[in-house]
Amino acid sequence: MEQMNNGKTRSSLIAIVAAYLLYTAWQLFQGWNDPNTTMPQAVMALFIVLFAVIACVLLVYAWRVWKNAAKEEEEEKKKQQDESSFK
Amino acid sequence: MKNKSVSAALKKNAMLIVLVLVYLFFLILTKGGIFSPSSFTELINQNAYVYILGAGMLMCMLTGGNIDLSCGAFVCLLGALGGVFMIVQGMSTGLSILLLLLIGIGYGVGLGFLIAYVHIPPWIATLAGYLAFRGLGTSILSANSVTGSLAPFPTDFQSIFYGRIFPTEKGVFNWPCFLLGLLAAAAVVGLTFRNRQVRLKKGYEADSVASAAGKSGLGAAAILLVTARLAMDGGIPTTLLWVAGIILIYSFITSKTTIGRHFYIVGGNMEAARLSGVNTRRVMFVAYLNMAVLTAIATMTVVARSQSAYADVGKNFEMDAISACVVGGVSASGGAGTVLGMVIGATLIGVINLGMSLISLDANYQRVIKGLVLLAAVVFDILSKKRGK
Repeated sequence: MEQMNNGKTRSSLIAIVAAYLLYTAWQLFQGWNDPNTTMPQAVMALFIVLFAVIACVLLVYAWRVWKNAAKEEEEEKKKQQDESSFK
Repeated sequence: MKNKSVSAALKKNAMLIVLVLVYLFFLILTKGGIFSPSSFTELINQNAYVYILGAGMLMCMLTGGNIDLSCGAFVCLLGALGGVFMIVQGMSTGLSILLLLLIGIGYGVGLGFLIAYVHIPPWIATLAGYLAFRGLGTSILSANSVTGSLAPFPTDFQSIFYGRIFPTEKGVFNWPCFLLGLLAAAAVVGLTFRNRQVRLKKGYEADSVASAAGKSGLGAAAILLVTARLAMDGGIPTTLLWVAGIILIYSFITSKTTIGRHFYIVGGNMEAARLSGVNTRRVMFVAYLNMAVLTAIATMTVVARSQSAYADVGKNFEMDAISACVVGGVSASGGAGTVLGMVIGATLIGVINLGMSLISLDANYQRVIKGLVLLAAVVFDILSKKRGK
């Protein structure tokens, strides 16, 4: 039973990390025309795309973890209802 | 069997090992610069807000992965109000600190009520604060200052939150500071063995004598190292006392009190917690009230260090606090998290920040590295879970 909401907690945390990576990609994009930066634009572009793609992958993974946790919770509730109706 | 226990120990202490390796990496890169006494002081002063906000964010996350997005913007607002109280209105430091704490409590009560009793999702409730408070803080600063910032804060306020205890000249060994470090190290060793004795007496599993001696010895050595370096840099910063006090209090709360255990139970399964008689609404309320109060304390350390209140203060603070919890907590226990884990996470991020600024690394590279660290922590957690299955 404890693992279900831990699954939901994990998915929330993974989603937060994904949001942070998207925010970092956005910050890099905002600094695209900054003359003071020493990061080449090619490298900047690489990391913008990389972080955006990884963030999307993590969001999908987080959603799947959440879905599994919710499904297990439903099954557990149904099992408990069946047990109480037998009594 | 021996291999399994070694790999389990490595996994359990993964972030601590990473911290040591990263420190050694920057030690080489900065040619010893990161080991200087002033670097230790800077690490504590620069990252005090991460430890303080991290403790609050951890309590929110324990309730089920909930976060507070408004803490950074709230720091800006409180900083502006603090500036108005102490600099513009000339109020006494004590009264101003009390007012700031009361405002923090007021916000925490309102936020906690909305989340716990009105059932507004935390990320929506705190997003409103994230969007509103910085604008409000900036407006207050603009209305009270031509430059858009308020400075300087009174010296007694700065000495409370950015001073030193038993101050001495830099370069002169500060013996009171080192003696305090010795006391703290002795306390760590004593408490470790005392806890071991209590566990054995109650019939619980406990570490072997060698393991307890090793762990407490390493902890004591770390404390002595830090205090020895601080002793060469003029003494213990008052910021460290605030951080250490908060960490000790929250370690105690999360491990030894009923309310602390309730946070874990609610995060584990809210419905089961409710059915077991835990007042889940009160736990959620307390989590966000607590976060607001800690944000008020963090604000005071930050504005005392910068000696001014300005519009950009608090930017990305919420992400730093979340990163500390995720890096230190998610990897260690798969979502549960501990105060010690958060401290390790915050220290790791602090060492990386300090190391990167000592080698004058471009801000964009710093952002990339911080993102990669967070990503590595999550990937490690995901892989650990898959291997565990």
